[in-house]
Amino acid sequence: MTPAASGPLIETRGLDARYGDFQALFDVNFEIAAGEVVALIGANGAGKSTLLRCLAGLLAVPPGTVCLAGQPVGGSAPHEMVRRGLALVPEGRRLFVGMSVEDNLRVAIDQARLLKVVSGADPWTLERVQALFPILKAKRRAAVESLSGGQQQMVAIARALLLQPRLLLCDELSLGLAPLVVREIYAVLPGIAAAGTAIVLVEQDVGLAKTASTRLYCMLEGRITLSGRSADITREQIAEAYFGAGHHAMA
Amino acid sequence: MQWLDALVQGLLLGGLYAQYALGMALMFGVMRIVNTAHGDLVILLALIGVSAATTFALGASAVLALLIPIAVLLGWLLQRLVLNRVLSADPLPSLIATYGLSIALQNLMLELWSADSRSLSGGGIEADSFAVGPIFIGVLPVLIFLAATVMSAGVDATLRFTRFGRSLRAAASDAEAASLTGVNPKRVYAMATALAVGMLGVAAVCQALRATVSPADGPAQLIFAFEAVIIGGMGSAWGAFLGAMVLGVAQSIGFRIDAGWGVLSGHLVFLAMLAIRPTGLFARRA
Amino acid sequence: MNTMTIDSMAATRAGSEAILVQRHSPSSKISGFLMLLAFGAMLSMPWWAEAGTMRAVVELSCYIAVAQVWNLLAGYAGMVSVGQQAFVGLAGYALFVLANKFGVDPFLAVGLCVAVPALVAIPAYALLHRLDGPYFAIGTWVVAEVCRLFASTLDYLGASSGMTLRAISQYSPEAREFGTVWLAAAMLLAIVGGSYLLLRSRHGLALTAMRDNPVSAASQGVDVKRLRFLIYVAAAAGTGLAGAVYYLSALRISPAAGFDANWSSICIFIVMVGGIGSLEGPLIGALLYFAADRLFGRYGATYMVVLGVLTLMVALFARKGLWGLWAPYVDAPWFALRRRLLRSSSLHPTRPQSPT
Repeated sequence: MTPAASGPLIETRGLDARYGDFQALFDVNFEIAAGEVVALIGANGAGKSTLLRCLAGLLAVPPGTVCLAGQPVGGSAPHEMVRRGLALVPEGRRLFVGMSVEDNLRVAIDQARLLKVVSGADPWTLERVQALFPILKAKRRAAVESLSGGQQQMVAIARALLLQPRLLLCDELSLGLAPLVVREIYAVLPGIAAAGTAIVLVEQDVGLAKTASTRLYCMLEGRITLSGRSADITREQIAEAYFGAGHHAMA
Repeated sequence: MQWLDALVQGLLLGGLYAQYALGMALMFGVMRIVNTAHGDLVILLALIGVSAATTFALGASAVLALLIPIAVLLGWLLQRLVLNRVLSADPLPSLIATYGLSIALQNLMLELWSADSRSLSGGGIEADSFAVGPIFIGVLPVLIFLAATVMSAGVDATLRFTRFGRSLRAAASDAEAASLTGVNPKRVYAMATALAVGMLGVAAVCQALRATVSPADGPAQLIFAFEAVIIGGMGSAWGAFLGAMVLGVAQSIGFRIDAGWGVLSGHLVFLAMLAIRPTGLFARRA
Repeated sequence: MNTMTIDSMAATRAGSEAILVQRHSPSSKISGFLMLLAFGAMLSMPWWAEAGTMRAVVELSCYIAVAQVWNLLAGYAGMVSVGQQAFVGLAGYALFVLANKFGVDPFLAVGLCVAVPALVAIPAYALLHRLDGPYFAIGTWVVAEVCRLFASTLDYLGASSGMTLRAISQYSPEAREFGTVWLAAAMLLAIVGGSYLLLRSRHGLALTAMRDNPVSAASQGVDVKRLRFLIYVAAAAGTGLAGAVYYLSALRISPAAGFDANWSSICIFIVMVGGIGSLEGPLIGALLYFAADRLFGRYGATYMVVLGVLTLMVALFARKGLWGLWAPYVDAPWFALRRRLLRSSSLHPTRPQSPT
């Protein structure tokens, strides 16, 4: 393991991805360095979730197309990627229904220990995530299906953090949540990044994505159409990359 | 007193059925697979046990110690070689695959052991009984009942409190999310099947001690296990246990009414349960 | 007013072309002809075939029939049953009871007795339909077992020794052969022909949609629940018909035979190895099973082990069976079930072209 971040933490090179006959990604080159927060925006069906799934090991891709710290890991099994320090907060939360909040978190704690995931100096513990999201302690015995959408999102994020990830992939955290709750959740992200975890944010809300990230990529129909520093990119550039050439102006 | 006797005998019979039902509840609750060869596996293990006992002059405890590891291995192999290939939302492949396996096993056993009934000798324990008030209770049925209770408690505790149990419940709830949380679903399923079939090792010894076994007996045991699980409510170890009790009592009472009505009464109670309370007595999400 | 119909729109765009839907293909025409020949040969059997041969053909017909019905149930309606033997036995016993105890002409009784399995299927479905897939299957087995146990305890039905078809003695052996063979032929026509017509119709489209994706089918207006129920009852009647013909030919029925779980094993083997979800598959599977049974049946249990292992292998590695292995490479369906859109450059538009 190289001590200094001399290259990207994870990168894709010419990544193609298919669902059966349908090609979802075309020659995607994506990278993120340790501790960065990178946003991934685009319309529905652009391929954002597909890219995350490729990174997490849910889609079979050639090994060389996805590299983690220089090692080819494309197509590895998801639990293998967890062992290597990657965690995905899936779209729609995907909590373990029928189990309590604490049990949901314990699964992550168990597996992190079992897989011997190498954690940093200050590992995520049950107490630390409960400090981050106090609701997790208050409702620890409640069945997850009884929680509100925002609370479930907190459980999902905590569950991913407890895997001690070097790279946290967040797929549409704001989906279906009230703006106040979204703000509450996004408020904790800088702290997570500061602790050394790189974060990829897939977001529908372009404004939120811009302010929460240092760099962003925009995708359209399976291709990267724009990339750059979030602060430098203009609305016009985003609109063009988001909707494609020949779009008409909107508000 | 005849009815009290029937009740008690029924509960004790339920103990044996509970041992079959636990494994099935585990496999269906977790993987949504019904192993049609479930009953045949018990018979296979029992026949192996009986043969080992006669060939090596083993007592019942030694046979038990021998069968459990064999059963665990069988379960693990079953999952890795057969069931892992048929895990999907479509129930057809797993049903057909295990059905084919069931036919093959039954006939293989017929070839190897012939159709004769066999039983295991427990050194007299099969005949021991003690009196509780006006009723005579067999020692063996009580032991079987106690074993079933211990096994049910064990499975329930394992699911609730152990790392393995949590990962199993997670994989049952959402296999993909579980894999994203670091669980290796196929490995966890293999362990679950190994546990489920391992318990059948105990059931095999109990069955062989209490009654006779012959190669064609498998389907009947499968049906009893299935009825117990449905009556009790799916996804619950104690549900399977109590469902088995109800089934045992139904059969026992039916048998007292008319010798040919024992098994039929169990079926009728099962069908009535489907009509009245299809989710079972103790429905709980897996 | 610029109203355009689809016809005239197509006519305007494409010139004077019309759109045709082609159902037949060369192979289906050939196989249709061959099947007609075979059917005719079967009908003529009483004049030239031996008794043993006729018995064998009747048996094969029954296997084809139960298998096609199971294929409709499992391959199209998505309901896997391992208890179809309930309906075989119910119809068989109903036949014997009608003929022996009520004096109904045995050949007529074959047609009437299917009412019994159909009626029993109604409450059976009501009880079972809420069960999950694999549990539904075992539930059907329990229903079959209940029927078997009732039959073996009721003295009216001869208890465990069963019944013989005494009523057939009113007919000479030649008349019996005619009647049995022709009934078997009629049964094949009803079941295989009926399946074909069903799948050809819009109900067939609904079935295929239901098989592929019940939720989407429902969203398109297919009443999935009702269709499933109707198919289950129809399958009970169809299986019963095959059972009645079989036991008409066998002249004896007992609980162990009529409600034998082996009927399900036969269905499963034939359909899975032949090819589920197609009409061709069960035909292939039935011929294969029949040949294997005649050639290797004497090896008893070992033969059954091989059948079981084959079923297992097919389920693991070749889910669409033999037809599924063959069909992707050779496009030669035996039945005219496809819908091909063709443009014909015929110059007979049905209405004058609208001004562009």
